[in-house]
Amino acid sequence: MVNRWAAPIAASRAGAAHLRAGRPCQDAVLYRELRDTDGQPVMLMAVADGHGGRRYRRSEVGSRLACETALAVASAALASAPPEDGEGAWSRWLAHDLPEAVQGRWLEAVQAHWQSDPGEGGFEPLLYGSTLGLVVMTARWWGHTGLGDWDLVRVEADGRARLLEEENEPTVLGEATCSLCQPQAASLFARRAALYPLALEEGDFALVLCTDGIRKSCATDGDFLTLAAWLARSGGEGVGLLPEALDRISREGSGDDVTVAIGRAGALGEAQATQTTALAPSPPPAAQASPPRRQRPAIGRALAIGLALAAAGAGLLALVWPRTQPQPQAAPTSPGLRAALAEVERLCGQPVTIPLELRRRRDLFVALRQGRQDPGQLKAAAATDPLAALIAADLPADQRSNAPAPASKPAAAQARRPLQALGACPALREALSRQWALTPAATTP
Amino acid sequence: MPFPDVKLANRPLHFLYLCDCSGSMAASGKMQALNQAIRQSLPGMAAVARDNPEARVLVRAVRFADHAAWHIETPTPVDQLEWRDLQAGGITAMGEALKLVAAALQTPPMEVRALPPVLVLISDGQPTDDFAAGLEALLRVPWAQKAVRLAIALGHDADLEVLQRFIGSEPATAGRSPRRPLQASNATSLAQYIQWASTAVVGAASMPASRVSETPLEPAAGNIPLPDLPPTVLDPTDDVGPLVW
Repeated sequence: MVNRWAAPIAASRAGAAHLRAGRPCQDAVLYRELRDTDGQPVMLMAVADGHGGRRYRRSEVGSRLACETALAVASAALASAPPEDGEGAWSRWLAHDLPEAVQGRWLEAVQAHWQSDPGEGGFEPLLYGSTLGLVVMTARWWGHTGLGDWDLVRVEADGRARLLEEENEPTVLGEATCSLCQPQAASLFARRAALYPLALEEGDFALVLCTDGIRKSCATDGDFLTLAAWLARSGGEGVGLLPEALDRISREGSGDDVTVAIGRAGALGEAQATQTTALAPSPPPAAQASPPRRQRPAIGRALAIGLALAAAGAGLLALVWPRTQPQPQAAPTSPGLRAALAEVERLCGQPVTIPLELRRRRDLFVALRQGRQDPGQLKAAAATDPLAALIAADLPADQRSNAPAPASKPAAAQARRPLQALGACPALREALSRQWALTPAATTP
Repeated sequence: MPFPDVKLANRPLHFLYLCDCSGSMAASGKMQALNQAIRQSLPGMAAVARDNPEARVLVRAVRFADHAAWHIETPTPVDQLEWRDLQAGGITAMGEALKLVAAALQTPPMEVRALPPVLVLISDGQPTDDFAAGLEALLRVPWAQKAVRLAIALGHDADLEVLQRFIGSEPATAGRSPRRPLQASNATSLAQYIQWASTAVVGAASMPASRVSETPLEPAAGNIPLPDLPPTVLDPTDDVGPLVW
C-alpha cells in the first residue's frame, strides 16, 4: 500500500459577470489532508456552486457550508472506520450514508447561520441553495459523490483527458440543477457516486473537479478536456497560476464563477510540467483532448478497416451511409466515412466514456425514434458530427423509414450490423442498445 | 507553462421573433407599428448585448400568414441586423410557424452550451391552422421547453387563449402576478413591450442564474426569472395610451 496522492491544489474566483454586477463569488472550494486508521494519508476535495438567482440570496454561504460540511462528515468517517471495511462498504457510504449525513448537517448549518444573522422573511433552505461535488482519495481507492452541475475529468500522465462525471438528471432544464436545498437531495447523490480501486501498477493521473463555469466557458468539450489537462499539469507550477487562469477563463468565456480542485496521484506535477513544456507548440485541442485510444499498429488498423468494409458489403453500407455518397469499396475515401471510423475508434479506445457521451445525446435518440430527425441528414453530415451519424446509422431497423425491411434476421440483429461493419466494439454496440432501450418510443398519432 | 490553445467562447443566446403577417395586420397601421417597434429596439438590444459579453445575442425571425417562412433565417448578431419590413396579407398559419421554430431548435444545429433561447410571438388574431399540433411539436423540443416564451397580443381580436398556451402557465408567486400575454392596443405600448423583450429580457437571459431543478413537488418557476415590466406597463392588462386597435 503506497501513498499515491499529493496534496490537492484548488482555487475559486468570482466570475467576470458577477464582478460587473457587484455580486459575490457564489462558488466555494475546500480540501483537506488526513490519516485513515492505518495511518495512511487521505485527501479530500470539494467544490460547490451556490445558485445565483434572487431566491437563493445566501447561496455564497450555502456553498461554503456545503464544502465544510462534506469534508467534516467525510473526515470523521474515514478516520474512524475499521480498515477491514471493503470497497463495497465504501461504495455504499459514498452513495447513501455520506449523503444523508451531509444533507442533515448542511441543513443544521444553514439554519444556524440564519439564526445568527436573520434576514427578511422566514428561513427556508432554498435561500442557501448550492450544488456539491466531493472527491475522496485513499491509499486503496478513490471515489466521488455529490449533486448538481459539477464536472470531473481524469487526466493521465501523458496529458490525455476524459470526462468521468457530469450532471445528467432528467428533470434538469435550462440553467436548472440539483441542489442540497431540495428535500430529496440525499437520494440524488447515488447517481453521481462511484468508487475506483487503485491498482498497484496504475500510472500517475490527476483528477480535475470543477464547477460548471469552466466547462460552459469552452467552445467545445474538446477544448474543455484540453483545458482540464492543462490545469492538472500546470499544478506543478504552484497555486499562484490558477487564479489568473481562472480569471481569464471566465472573462473570455461564460462570465460565471469558476472553481477547480485538482487531486494528483503519483508524480504528476513538476515532472509533467517539464515534459509538457517540450510539447510546444500545443497540438490542436481535439487531438490533445481525445480520450486515450486503443493502441493498434497502423497496419492492424488498416486491416481492421478493410475487413470491416469488406464484411459490410455494398448493400449494408448503404444503410450505414447516405445513398447519395459514392459507396466506398476498399478504403474509406469519403470524409464522412473517415470521420465515422475515427469516431468509432475514439469511442472504443475508451469504452468507459461511451455511456456518458451517448446520454448527452439523448435528445437526438428521442428525435430519431420519434421520427422528428431524418437519419439520412445526420449520416450525410458525418464529417461534422460523426457521433450523430453513428447514432443515426444504429437506429433500429424497424423504425428506419427508408430502410429495407429485414429479410431473415431479427430486427435487433439487423440494426446492429451497420455499426459492426464500422468496427464498433461490443461496448459501443451495447451502450447504444441500452440508450435505445431507454428512449421513449414514437408517440402514436 | 503557457495557457493552452483552447477556444474560450461566450454562449449563444438565440432570440426569435414569430410575427403574424396576416391580412388583418395591415389594418390600423399594425404592421407598420410592428416593423417600426422592432427596428427601433435594435440599438437598445445591441447595447444590452455589448454590456453582457458573456452572451452572443443572435436574432432570427419567422413570418406567418398563409404559410410560415423565415424572415431572417440565419442567426444574426444583433449589431449586424438590418430589419427588412414585414408585409401583411393572408391568413394566420401560426401552428406552421411553431413547427418551423421547433425544427430550428433541434440539437444540432442548436449548440449544446447555448443559453435558453427567447421566443417572442406577436399576433393580432386567431390561428387558422392546427395550432395545437404546432405547439405540441414545439414543446417536444427540449430547447423550446427551456426557452423564455413571451407573447404580445395586438388589439382586442387577438386570441389570448392560444397566446397563453404558447407561453405556458405560471402560477402567481409572492409579489408577482401570473404571467399573461402582453396586450398592446396602440403603437406606443407595442414599442414598449418590444423594447422590454429585446433589452430587459435579453439582459436577464444573458446572465442566467442557476436555480434548483423542478420536481413534481415544486412547480415550474419559469426558466429565467423575468424582469419587471416598465413602470408604465406593470400590469400587462392595464394598457397605456389610447385604445387604437
